[in-house]
Amino acid sequence: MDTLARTAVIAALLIVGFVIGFPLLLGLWQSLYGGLPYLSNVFDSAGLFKSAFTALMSSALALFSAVGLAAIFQGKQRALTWISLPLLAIPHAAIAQAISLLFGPSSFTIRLLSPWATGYTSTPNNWLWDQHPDGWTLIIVLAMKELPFFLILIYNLSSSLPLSAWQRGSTSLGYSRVTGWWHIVLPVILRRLWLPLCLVIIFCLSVVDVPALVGPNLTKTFAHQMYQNWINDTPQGEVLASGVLLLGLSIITIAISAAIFKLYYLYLRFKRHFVRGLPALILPWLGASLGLLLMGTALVSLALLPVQSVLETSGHRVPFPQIWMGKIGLNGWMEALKVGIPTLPTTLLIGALTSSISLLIALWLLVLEKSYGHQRWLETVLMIPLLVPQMAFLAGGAFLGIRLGLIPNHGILMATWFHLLFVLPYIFLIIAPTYRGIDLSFRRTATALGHNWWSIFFRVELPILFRPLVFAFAWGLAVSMALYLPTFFATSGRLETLLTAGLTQLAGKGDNIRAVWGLMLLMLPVFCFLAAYGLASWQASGRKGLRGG
Amino acid sequence: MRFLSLGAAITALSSIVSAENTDNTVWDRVLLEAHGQTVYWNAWGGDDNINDYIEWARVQVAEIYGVKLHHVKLIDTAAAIQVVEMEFAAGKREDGGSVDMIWINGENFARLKRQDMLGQPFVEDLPNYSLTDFESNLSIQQDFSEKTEGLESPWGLAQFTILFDTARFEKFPTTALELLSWAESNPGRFAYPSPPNFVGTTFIKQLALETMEDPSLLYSPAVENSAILLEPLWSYLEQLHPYLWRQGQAFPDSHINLRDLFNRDEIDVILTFNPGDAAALVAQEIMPPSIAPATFKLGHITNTHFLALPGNSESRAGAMVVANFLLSPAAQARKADPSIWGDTTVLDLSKLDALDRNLFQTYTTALGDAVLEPHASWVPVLEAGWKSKFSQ
Repeated sequence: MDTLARTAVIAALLIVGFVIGFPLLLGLWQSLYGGLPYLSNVFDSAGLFKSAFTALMSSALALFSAVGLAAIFQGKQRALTWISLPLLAIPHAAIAQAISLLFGPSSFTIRLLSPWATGYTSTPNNWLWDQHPDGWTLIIVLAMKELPFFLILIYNLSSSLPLSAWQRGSTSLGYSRVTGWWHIVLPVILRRLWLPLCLVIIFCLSVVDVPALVGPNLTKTFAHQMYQNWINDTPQGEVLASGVLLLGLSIITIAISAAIFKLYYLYLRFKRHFVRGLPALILPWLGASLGLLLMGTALVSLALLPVQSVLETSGHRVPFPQIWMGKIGLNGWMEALKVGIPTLPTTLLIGALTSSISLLIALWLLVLEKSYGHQRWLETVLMIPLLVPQMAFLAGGAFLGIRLGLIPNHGILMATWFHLLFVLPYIFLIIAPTYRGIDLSFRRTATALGHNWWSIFFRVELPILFRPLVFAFAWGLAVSMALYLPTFFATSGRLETLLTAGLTQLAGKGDNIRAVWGLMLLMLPVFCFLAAYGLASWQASGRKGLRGG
Repeated sequence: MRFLSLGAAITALSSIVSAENTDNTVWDRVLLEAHGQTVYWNAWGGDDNINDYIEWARVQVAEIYGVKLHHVKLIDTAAAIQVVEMEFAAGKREDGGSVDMIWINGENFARLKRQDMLGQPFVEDLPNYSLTDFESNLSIQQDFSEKTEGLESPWGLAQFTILFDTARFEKFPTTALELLSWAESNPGRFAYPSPPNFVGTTFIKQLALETMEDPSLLYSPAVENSAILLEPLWSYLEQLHPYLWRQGQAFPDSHINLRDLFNRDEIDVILTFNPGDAAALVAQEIMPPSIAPATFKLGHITNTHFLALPGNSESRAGAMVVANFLLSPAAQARKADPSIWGDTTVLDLSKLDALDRNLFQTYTTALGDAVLEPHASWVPVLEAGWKSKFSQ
């Protein structure tokens, strides 16, 4: 067993090292080597500050709302999960699109209210709410997207904690459910949300498609600038240097949020004596209200997409404040389906391959961890692809693929490899808490009953893991479907997925076609999530202990 | 179907016509080699009409020359440049490339040329190249001041202009000063995409040509303190910006967004690099029929867009055949048709015989007076200056 186990550990090392470390190191080396001389050319304090500000604000807002909702809606999280699922699955760009349709100065909403309520007889000229120059629209859109991610994680975490025992304890001390949760559960959960929080911050720092739709577009975020420069013929050295700067910014931003976390735990230590403070009464309600507001706005704006998708905007202008010119039709749908449907097999194949392989690797690592203890470094290595700017790092991977003769002739293989880098960390993150939380006594009992390792794994552990597994699978599909640059570089652009086809289509199209693409991009992952949800409920229905959260 | 075979017949005819006056043996060898080759053409894929046109070309070259053409749809050309650079860096310098042909111009071309990634000159081997106005059209010989040297084949002409709504305005400003007073009396109705979007950069180039004391300096390389020469441009823009869309606090990301903003009744102008856009956007039912191009007293910045062949392609002959086909009168005429695309031809109509010339009869776009692109070294100066003035 010992040599077998050692072999397994070494194999895990090699796989993680090769699949992730190799392209990563190569990419980083390339960025540093090619980019360092140009660092001063691309340094831009305003853009860097805006990036850090929007990333920290949006992650804080999302996290705060999520814990507020979790505290207020204990035991009713199932309903919340239902609402969050579509939001979780929807590509960021679709929400950004929906928000700009809802809040624009020439949007539906303003037209409906004009001029009788607003006094506007032409589109307001000083309107900035759909793309606020200080980044507020960006912050709100990002928070809308990250809030459900935190909610699901909290939901999964809760199932691995002895919540009811804790609650009994705090109730017997005279605290309300909400206050009890805020004081006892929150500190534990927050500690475990640290890594996801880092991922969210880094994501917000490097996201490009959202600021392209909702601003800020005068002083742009640094990543947005970097992308704009990249597509507008900036010398490669400067693009690489931007990647290095973005990496530096990521480290600083993470350090800032780590400091805030430290302060929170320090505060916890000192406030022991006056637990009944006002914050614990107000904060959960405030967070929950913000959360409901965010989710409600997102859902309303998304609900407008289908309406927008059949209002034909092309070929004429719609004078303000008229609502539309009376042309309703499915032209946008016909056009988009013609392009979209042929890409479905490739999209689903790559997504399913990536998710399945990621699940296998994640489970393997977790099983090893059970026998050999928590390998922190392994987890960190897994997360690195999400912590490094995509652009520099992908170039390294593509370089490798070309060298090995795998690009461009083995597109599916390469696309799966590249997607794996981005899908595996999320999948690991989703199933790890549950797997780690599985009571060791189950295994002892089952062993005593004469079951061998495999039979315990399949008959005890997998059923417990079933819910996070199917969610992780669906999440993997959704992440994979939303990857543009990795798909492009893995195949030299020769393979088209729904997203790559959609993005090339989006520019220069009327609002109706954008709405159609927004819907197409969100329907596929939402469908996967609903299927996962149905599957999980069906599986849990025969097992009493797995129901609810 | 009937239309396709008609197109094929015309094309076959025109290739016979042009074959008469070229040395045949080299080209015959290319045709032979091209048969059965697969050509991956990396071209911006954001416009259905252009995509449909490329799809038409795909069917044509398969039927006539047995070349299998694939359109790799790009969000931006720079992505294909990156791929080629990566392949060369990975040692694929002679073969094994994944990009056989790129729709390209300006800095992207200069970038590949500088790094010697475009192989041997090929343009003069294309029989149809002789039909272009290569002797006198400066923008065919030079691509943003970079000599083309036979490394890219001209495909279409671009000219900067502003489209405005004739339903609301009888005439549109012809000079920078007129534009300023127009904006003052129509606050919020003018917008331009922020540099480095190429149309935004071209807009400020056009203004620089008009506001600078000695605009001829723009045609020699920018030097260290060239930025000072742009002061009149910045003070002009400082006056203009408060009257822009969103009072200059937000700028559209791309010139393409202007179409939506126009149709949503937020602005009254569209900036474009395609002089045929006025007719084409109407014919394709993207914009209302009331749009018309403005005329600038100074003339309009003009350039050419091209097709280049990376040196590590294994289907160079196939790509040459496609490039030549795209220069044929039939293909160029179809491209110039506003209901198909509306891109201005690079052919010199006086070199065509009557039959071919007739193909273009209804779709020649009247170009404004042409002004050449300033030297490429001014682009970073303009972009950095704009950024430090307005986006901090």
